[in-house]
Amino acid sequence: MALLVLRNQPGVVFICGIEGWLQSSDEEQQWQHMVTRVVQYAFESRPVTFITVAPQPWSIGHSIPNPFQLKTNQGKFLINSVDQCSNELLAEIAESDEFHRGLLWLAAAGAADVSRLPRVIMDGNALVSDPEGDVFEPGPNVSKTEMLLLVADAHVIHWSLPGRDVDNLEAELLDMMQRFRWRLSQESRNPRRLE
Amino acid sequence: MVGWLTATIFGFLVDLVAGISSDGTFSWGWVILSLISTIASIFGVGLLAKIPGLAKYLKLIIPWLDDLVRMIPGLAKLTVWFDDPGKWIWKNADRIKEILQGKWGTWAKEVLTSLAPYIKKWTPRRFFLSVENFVRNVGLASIPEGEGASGESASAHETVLQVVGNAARGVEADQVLPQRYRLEPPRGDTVTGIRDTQAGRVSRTTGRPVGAPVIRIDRPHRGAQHPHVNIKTLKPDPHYRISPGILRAAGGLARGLEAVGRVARPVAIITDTVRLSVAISEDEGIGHNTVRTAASVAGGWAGAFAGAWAGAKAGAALGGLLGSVIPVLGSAAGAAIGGLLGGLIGGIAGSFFGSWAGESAADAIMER
Repeated sequence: MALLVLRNQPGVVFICGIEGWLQSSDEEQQWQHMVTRVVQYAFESRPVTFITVAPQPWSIGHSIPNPFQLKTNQGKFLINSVDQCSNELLAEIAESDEFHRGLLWLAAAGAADVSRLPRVIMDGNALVSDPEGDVFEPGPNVSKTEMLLLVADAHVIHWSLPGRDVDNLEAELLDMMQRFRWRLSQESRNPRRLE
Repeated sequence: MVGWLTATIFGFLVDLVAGISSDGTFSWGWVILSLISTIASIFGVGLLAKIPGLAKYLKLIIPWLDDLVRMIPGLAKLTVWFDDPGKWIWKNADRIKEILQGKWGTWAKEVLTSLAPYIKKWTPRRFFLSVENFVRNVGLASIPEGEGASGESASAHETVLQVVGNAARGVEADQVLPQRYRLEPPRGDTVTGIRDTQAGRVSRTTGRPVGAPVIRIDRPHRGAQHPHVNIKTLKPDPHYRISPGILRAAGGLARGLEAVGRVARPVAIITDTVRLSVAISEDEGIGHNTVRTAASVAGGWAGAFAGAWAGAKAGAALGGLLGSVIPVLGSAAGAAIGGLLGGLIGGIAGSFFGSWAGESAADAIMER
């Protein structure tokens, strides 16, 4: 039985992850369902910037409108800006291999501003790569941009500076958890429905 | 007629191969471009091959053209520009016709024989000396000091070139074929891995799967403090811990394979060209050595493609079988490792075998 960890610091960060490893294909599908829901909740009908790390010919970013490549001292990136993000596109992103590997980040629209991108990329790299960092903590360098990505081999969703009310999302996730017969980990903080 | 028909059919088949890129994807754009060039060359043959026939009729109008040149001032200057190329085409009409009709013997004779003196003049001494030194230094062959670039040393050069060429051909064939399993490029925390090109989401633009990694070798990242191997087809993904040394070695090996893949094509072409040129130079035209070397090159390429294809299939099957009895691996990961290695090893082995078979066939035919 999978253990769900929820950490909600309103206006700062929303973290949702699983403790340990997923044991079966069923659990994997259930977790994917939750991930897709969080991504859709966060950016449905909102302008989004997609940032693909080290893009390849098969990268999903190539099939999203308005792609452009950016080369910084931190590597190559493919950037897409979408004005109105559909649920279908967000589901496709959430299920993509690149998103699972922490190679595709979703940021708020302002991130597309080229002068801000290096800072956004630095924040994203800090969230993904710090091996010493606790995956359920926002870390010392809290992102200055609203950004959503999967870290720790697709086990933890990290949504910094959430631009939407996360209380409703938290409630939805707790409902799903009960439906899937998952348990809430002791590591969780501020899950309102539990209180 | 049969030769022309065979060449045309082969040309169309090659057009289809032109659509396959090194990452296994297929694009019709290249096929269409290639088809256009093939069709143009077929029609070109039909038109240009008539040059000798047309020449007969041109001779009838030449006196009239001469009058025209005298009548129009300035036209004489213009004709000077076309004079030399015109004379050359006139003189070589029969050869051009044969070349355009795909008579490769004529093509090889004309082009390679005319190149041979230059190759002989500029390349051999320096090239032979450096190859000889290389062979001596790495101990590939024992060559007595003071012996020139002939006899035993010449055969050692040939052996080195053949070995390098066969290996390069094998690698290149494996890259060109749309193999199912490929090396995963280094990205993010992934150092290397194996990618299944037939898995993953279906692309909206191509309508085909974009591929997904089966095995990944990752450096430490958030949530994993040690280097580890991910096997995505096992549930749960085991995250096998590996040492930093193994991580470095795997990364180095992947970079090395990538570099070898990048130079394989030019190396194969250069070794083939040098071998053919040396053979023509030794024969002072086209003779036994040239035929034998050409057969070796052609057999090598055919063997490399056949070997890479069969090796990948057999490797995947064998790897899948072995993986199914090794619980830490699983059949999908076993198939990925077997398919990747099988394609590479099969390509190289096939190139060696094809090269040997080509030489043997040439020897047998020449002895008759």
